[in-house]
Amino acid sequence: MNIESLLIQKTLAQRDNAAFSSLVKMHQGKIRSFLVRLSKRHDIADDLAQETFITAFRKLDSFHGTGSFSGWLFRIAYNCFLQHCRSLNRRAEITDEYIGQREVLTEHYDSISSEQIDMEQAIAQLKPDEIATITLCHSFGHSHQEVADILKMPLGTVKSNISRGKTRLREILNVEPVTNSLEKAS
Amino acid sequence: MNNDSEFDPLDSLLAQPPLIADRGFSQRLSREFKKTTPVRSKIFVLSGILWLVLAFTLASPQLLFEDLSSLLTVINISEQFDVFSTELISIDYTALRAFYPSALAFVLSIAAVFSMLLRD
Repeated sequence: MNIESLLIQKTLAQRDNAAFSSLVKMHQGKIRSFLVRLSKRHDIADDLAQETFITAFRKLDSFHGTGSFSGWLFRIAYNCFLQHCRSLNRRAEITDEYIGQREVLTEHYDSISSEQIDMEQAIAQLKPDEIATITLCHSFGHSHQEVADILKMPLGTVKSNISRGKTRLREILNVEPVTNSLEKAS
Repeated sequence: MNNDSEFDPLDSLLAQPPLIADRGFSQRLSREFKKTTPVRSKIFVLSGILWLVLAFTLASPQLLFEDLSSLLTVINISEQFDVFSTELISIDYTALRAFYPSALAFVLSIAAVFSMLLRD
C-alpha cells in the first residue's frame, strides 16, 4: 500500500486534518496549474482549488479507489470550474484577462522557462474543453479513457478535442512535427 | 524492421507543465479545515447538551422511554422496526421504574450523544 492510500485511509478513519493536509501538499501543484489554465486567473484558480479540496475532504468516503486519486480530484476541480462558469458566465470574458501577462506567470511559478511561458499563453487561447483534455492527457499523463472518465466526456470527443487543440497550438506556436526516418538496418 | 519514429516538439513541451509554487496554499487550506470542523462539532455538542438538559428538566427517563415507544408505534415503517417497537412496548414500565436509575439513564444518554459525535 502506498503513502497516498494510507493517508486516505487515515483521513477516513480519524477525520485527520493533518493526513488530508499531506494529500493537499502532494496534489495542490497539479490541481492549481490545471485550474489556472482553465480559469486563466491565479486568484480564481486558488479559490476553485480551495473549493476542490474542501469538497474532496467532505466527500472522501465516496472515493472507492477504482480510479486514481488525482483523477478523482481533477474531476472535482473540473466540476468546480464548470460551476464557476455557469454562475458567472465568464467563458467569453476570461481569455482577454490573461494573455500577455508574462510577469504574472513568472511570479506564480517556482521556475518557468521562456518556452513554458509561451506554451501557457498559447494554451490560454484554446477552448476550455481543449485545455482540459490536453492538460490531463499530455501534461499530467492520463490516458484518453481516463480523461473521458474524469471529464465525463465520450472517448471520441476527448480525442477530437485533443486533436483540434494541438492543431491550434501548432498554429499559434508555429511548431511542426518532425519525422526522423532511420535507415533499415541491413 | 521499420524504425520510423516521430518526435513531436509540441508533445515534448506539453509534457513539461510548470507547477504552481505552494507559497502557503496548503497551510491556508489546513487552517480552513481546522476552522470548519470544530465549529460543526461544537454546534453538535451544544445541541446535544441542550437536548439532555431539556429532556431531564421536562421529562423523566421513563417518560422518554414511553414517548419513544409511542413514536415507534407511529413510525412502524419496516418489519425490523415493528419487531423492535413490539419488544419495547411490551416492556413493563412499572418494573422498569423500579430498576432504572436516573444516573444510568444520564450516562447512557451521554454515551449516545458521543457515539453520534464520533460517527459525525
